[in-house]
Amino acid sequence: MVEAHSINAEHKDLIHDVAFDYYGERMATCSTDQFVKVWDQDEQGNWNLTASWKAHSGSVWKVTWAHPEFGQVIATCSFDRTAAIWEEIMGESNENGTLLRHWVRRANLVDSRTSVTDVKFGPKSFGLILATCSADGVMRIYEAPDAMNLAQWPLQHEVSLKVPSSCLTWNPLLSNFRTPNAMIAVGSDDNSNTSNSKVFICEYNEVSRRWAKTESVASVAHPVHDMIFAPNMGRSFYLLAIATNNVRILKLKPILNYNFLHSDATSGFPYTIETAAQFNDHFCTVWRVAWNITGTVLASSGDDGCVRLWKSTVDAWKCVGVLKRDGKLPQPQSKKTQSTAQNNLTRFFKLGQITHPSEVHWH
Amino acid sequence: MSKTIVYDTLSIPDPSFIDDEVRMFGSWFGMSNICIFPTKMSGPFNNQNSSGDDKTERNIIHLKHKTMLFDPKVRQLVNESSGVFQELQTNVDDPTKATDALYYSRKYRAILSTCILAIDRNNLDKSNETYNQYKMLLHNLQLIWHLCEVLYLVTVPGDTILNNLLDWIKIHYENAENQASVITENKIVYLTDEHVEEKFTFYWDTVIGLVLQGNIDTARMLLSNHSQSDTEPFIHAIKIFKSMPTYSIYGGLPIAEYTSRFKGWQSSAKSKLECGIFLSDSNLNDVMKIICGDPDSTSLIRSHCSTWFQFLVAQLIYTDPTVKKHSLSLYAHRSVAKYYEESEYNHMDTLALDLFDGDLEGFVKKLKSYPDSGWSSTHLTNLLHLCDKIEPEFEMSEVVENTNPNEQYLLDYGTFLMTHHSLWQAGVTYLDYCSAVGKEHLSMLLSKLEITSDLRVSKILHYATARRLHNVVSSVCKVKGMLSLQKSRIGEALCWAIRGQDSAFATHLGDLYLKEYVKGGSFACPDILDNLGSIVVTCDRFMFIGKYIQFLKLAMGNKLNEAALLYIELLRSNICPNYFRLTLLMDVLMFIENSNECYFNIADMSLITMRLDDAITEWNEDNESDNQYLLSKVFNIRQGIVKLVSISLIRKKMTV
Repeated sequence: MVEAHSINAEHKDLIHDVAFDYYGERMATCSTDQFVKVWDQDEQGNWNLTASWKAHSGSVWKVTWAHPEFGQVIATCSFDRTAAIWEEIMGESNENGTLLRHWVRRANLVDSRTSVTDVKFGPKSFGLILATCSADGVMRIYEAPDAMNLAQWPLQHEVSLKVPSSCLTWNPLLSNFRTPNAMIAVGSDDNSNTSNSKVFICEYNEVSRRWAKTESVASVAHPVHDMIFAPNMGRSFYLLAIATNNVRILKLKPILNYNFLHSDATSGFPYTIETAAQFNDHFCTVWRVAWNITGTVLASSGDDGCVRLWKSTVDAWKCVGVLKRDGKLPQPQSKKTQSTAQNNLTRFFKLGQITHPSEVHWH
Repeated sequence: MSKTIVYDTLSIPDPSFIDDEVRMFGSWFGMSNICIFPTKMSGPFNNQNSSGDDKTERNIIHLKHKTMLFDPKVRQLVNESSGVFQELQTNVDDPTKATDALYYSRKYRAILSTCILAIDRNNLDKSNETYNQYKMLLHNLQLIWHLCEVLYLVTVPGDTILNNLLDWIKIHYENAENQASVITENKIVYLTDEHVEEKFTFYWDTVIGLVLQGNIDTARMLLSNHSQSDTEPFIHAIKIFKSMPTYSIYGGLPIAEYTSRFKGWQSSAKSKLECGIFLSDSNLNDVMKIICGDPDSTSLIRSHCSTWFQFLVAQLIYTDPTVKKHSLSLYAHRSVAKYYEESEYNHMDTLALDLFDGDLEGFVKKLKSYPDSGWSSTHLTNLLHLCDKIEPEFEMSEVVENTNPNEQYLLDYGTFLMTHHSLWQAGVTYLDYCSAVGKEHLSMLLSKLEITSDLRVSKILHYATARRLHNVVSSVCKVKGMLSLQKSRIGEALCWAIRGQDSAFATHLGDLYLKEYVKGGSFACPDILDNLGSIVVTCDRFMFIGKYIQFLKLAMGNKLNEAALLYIELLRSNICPNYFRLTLLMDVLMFIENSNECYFNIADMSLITMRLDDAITEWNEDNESDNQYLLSKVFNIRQGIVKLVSISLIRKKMTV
């Protein structure tokens, strides 16, 4: 049984991204209307809009939350060629006793000369670190040297990939593997040719203290729209999900006995890359991929209007569920819960019960 | 043979999707929820002409997976079984205790029964469809679990399994017995001379039902209640019923002897049947046909059985009462073939068939897809694994290496429970038995639990500490501390820093305290600062704050001699942060202004002047500071020091 809960986003134009905080209790949305909105869940499970502000002077493509150990911080990137870092500030309480919250821009990252297409915070073990990529194919790393001071975000590194970049993802890194280098995968949606690689792996080299492109994945040649590394959970390899002309899952396995001390930017790549799975079920372009909390179920969103769920089973990856859009209005059941909603943005509807043993397995 | 359903499709109805151009994007959030939002992909670089004020509805949809186990009435199943699970695991590790698989199997089944009863109590009129469904699911589960127990965990001498199978069938199909008691307990029939078989339309169904469960005594009782019970056919029938030999393992009758007696009894019944003694009552004749094992009765038996395995057992009573366990597989396949015209088995049918077939591994695999979120497959697989009924290496998941399947089940089930806001503690129990990977999952899932209530935070910290997951402890404390800091509750933040032993965070908070002191001349939250505990050892800033407060107290209590010693110690150790240097140096004035006493020796005073010079040089380099007040005091300090030097010199001279 699935319970659905619908929230009117109140954006005046297309929504481009919805991001949740570490616990899934706060939601940030961004849109072509140049606004960013933050929603909070109350004790009853209703989502309330708690902040809405014009964040950029162009479409806001992505929004992402920092780990809450660094406070309540989000980053946004936009068509206006900037990325921004925002922190939530609590002011004095008003007469009702509730604290007033608002978001202030802590930094404006203006190094890109073209649209900034993606922004992601790095794993928390690296401190407060941020990667952006832009339409002119430059991946940039910013870092707050003092995590308690969000005003300072010097640009640390630039890696030019020379093809329009559309998305990036940090490798969550293995905990049981000897000190691997920080790694980012960058994807390109360049559709001028379909022979060159569209996925690049960049790594930080401890010796040269630089980020550099260390690998291009030859097997992915169609435009890439989204990528994400799976949470590691003690595995001895990395899983990278890619949204391209199909859903692709790459497996990066560390080459044992690879000598890290002698590896520099030119001497090769200490991983083997193989395709773990490939699904053409969307029959067309795939736009988004997302891993669940343990990296066992992948959700892919395609041009066919479906979200498909893929789970790894004993010998293969299998589809375990499909969510299909339906333009019809929700069933009248939604009336029941209207009484409780002081904000009429919320409604519940049951999407039908699953009685058969093949009940949707999300877990 | 079985239908394979690959997946389910869920329609998401929403006005946002009226436009065909609109795409649906999905992502995960929280523990296991899915968020869906509508968007369009018209190439990211050319949709800048924002139309501004369009009225299109854009809804974000959150999907939450609700399963049976999360229902408040079913939760006791989860909690109690986790207790039994833990007891079982500890017993296995303890060589002094015998692991009695049967005992634990029955315990699990007892929990199932209690849960079914609880659901019944809350759904007396059976109007709640969800509860009816849950009851059905749990009931079937109990049935299949019981069968597994009968076939694999109970040891039967001589392997004559029929009596156990009958017990199994009787418990789960109680309809005939219930109806029988309705009929026999109805006294009005006796008093009014009514015909019992006419008053109760289900009379003959009940008799057949009882006969098919081997419940001959009750069936005989019903027959003697029949209005015609004093006629010849009934007298004969009752006699046959009475003389049916029963087999009991401990009855002392060898199998061969029993078999010959049974055959003798059946052939005498058959001869009576063939003479047409029972023909006067067609129902009675049918019953006798069943008893004689007449092949013609198969379709009658079939119509009285709701499942093929009920059919199988019913047939065995009168055809092969001493059936051995190993020949069950053959009979099972025959029964399935006879019971179903086409192969239209449901999940339960295949599960039962696997059990009769002796294919435990296939059974366990299929049980995994039973819609109880892995409850049964986890516990039953674990139990079968611990009593060596299944080998652990029969399946290997590719994604999580180095785990056996039993562990994989525990991992899946534990992770699943951890995603629920109130069942997560039960989930921890299962992940605890999943070696290294389990620890990885635990540390991830524990730190992802919402930390809204303080009670829950202490629970999380307790679990994490007990498992030496220090990264979880420090992460949770840091997050809580940052949230406090956001609300400007520095004292609260400090408590979290102390709890998480986070010296970097504590240093930051210490700076806030000291800067506050520089501005205002007093410390906030004195009670916390008085009880700093071990943070003073791990964090330099608080070592300084602790000492400095001690110094202030001594000075306040006019113990200037001791205060002076501490003061010099503070200056010498140089742990004072830069921005606090001048403030610290200002304190020298309290030794100077009030008295003519001298608390410092020459070396001390040269240290003070040295630190003062350092501080001023630093001050000049860093011109941003605007605290002119402190700078103006520098002259006072120098003057005071000169005075002190002179006093001490005079003293020295006098003592010499």
